[in-house]
Amino acid sequence: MSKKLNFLESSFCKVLRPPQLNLRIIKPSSMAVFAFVLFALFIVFAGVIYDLIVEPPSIGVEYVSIFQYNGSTIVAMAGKNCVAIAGDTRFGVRNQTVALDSNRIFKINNRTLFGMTGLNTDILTLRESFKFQMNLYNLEEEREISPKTFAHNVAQTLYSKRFGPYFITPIIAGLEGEDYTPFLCATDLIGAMEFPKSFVVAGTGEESLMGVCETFYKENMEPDELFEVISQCLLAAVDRDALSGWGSVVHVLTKDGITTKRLRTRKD
Amino acid sequence: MSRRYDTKTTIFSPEGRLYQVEYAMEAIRHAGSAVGILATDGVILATEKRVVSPLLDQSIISKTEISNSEKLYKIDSHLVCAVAGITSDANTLINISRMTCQRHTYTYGQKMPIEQLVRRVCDIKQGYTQYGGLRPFGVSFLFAGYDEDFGFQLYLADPSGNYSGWKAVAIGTNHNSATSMLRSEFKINKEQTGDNIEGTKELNLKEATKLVVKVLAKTMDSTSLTSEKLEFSFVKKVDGKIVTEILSPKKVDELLKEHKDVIEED
Repeated sequence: MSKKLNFLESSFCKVLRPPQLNLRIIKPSSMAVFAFVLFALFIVFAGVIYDLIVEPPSIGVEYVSIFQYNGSTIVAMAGKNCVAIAGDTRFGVRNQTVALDSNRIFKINNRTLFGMTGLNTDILTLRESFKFQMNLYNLEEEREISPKTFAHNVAQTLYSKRFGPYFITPIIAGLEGEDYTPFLCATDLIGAMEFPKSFVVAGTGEESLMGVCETFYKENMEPDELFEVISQCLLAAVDRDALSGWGSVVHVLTKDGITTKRLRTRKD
Repeated sequence: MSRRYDTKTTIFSPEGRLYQVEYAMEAIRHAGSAVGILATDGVILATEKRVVSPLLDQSIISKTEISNSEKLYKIDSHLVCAVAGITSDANTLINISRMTCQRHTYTYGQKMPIEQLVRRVCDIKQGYTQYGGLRPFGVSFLFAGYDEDFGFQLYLADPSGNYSGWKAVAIGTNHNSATSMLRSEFKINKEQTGDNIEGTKELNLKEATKLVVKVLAKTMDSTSLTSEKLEFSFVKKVDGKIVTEILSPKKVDELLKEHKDVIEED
């Protein structure tokens, strides 16, 4: 044994010289080492569990929120004594398109149009629910509801489900009063109302819609120009949104009535 | 003898009668009259107003098309009813009918069938004759409407909770003379039909309107027939769609002018 060591000593140690490290030799107690190892283990396992729960391993994400389950886009704009509301007509379930003719914009009366985006089943149920309430209103008041009153009704209906909400974003567009002043209202899923004067957007394509509308909107547009602007804005936005498109419908409401036109969009 | 058995609705008399229910029906007999006729292409209801005073504020009627009628009420877009009796009792039941119709539409996506609604209202009325210790509703209804299964229909619902479908019916004051007039008009002689069955005439809406005006002219207390005292309502098909209309006073006057030859007959 000593012969081997002598050989090592003689060959390497003659050439290499160990560095002069003035190291203090730490001699921790065994409890300290144990605590350190335990702590390190805890950190590692906690990190692993956190990763598994917050970002579970999967290949891609189906949808981030329930509002993307069906996907839809609606925009409403105000002009001079007229309003227009436009939306796409795709009915899809996640990334599959099921129908091309689903209507999400409804006529409440000759002065009020009501559109909803979000979860399709809630859209259909709320449509029936508002028809119920409006029929009773017409029978009892013997007149038609004004857009502002209807908007408050929508907000109250949505807030009544504050802790188990309907997953929709409604838009109300109408002409208010004797002078046919344009009226726009959008609320969130629990009924917080906003009354913008220019335009309002909702749905999965709302971010691109906001940008396009901001660029092309101008005040006091006549019905023809309003129709052009809102159509171009909607088409531009749904082309960029995977979950909207497959056809669109535009309604222009003036004091003479509602004109409805269907536009072709990209079928993808 | 009957006094011991008529204070509560929930007890029979020894003769097997429910006096409270009968007294309720008596209340109807003193109310303003209502006539309904079922035609082949529609139903017409006509009523006589009781509260007629120049002090009534009618300004809203002239401004808008609001009918503001006293005895005729729309229950749904396919259903109208005429009321005879205590109007406040009727208002409760009309609210219930309206809610029932909308709930049916919400659940089934179709207009409520007329008989189902009439049955529902009558079940409520019957409840008040059997339990609860509350008095019955002092109101009779004439329900007129259309549904896809049975076409145009006319029903009479009385305070006891009974109902039946009629071709022509009159309730309220002078309903006996009105009914006998209607019966004689509707009967066809055996010779006219050709076969040996005694049937009833089939009237269209125009002929039915004429008949209603004639009946009201004969049975009403007042001498002149104007929109002040009368209300009319139709259920008919216009361009394939069902339309229920309670006529505004202007239209009532036009209608009475159109049929004034019938009024001036007597």
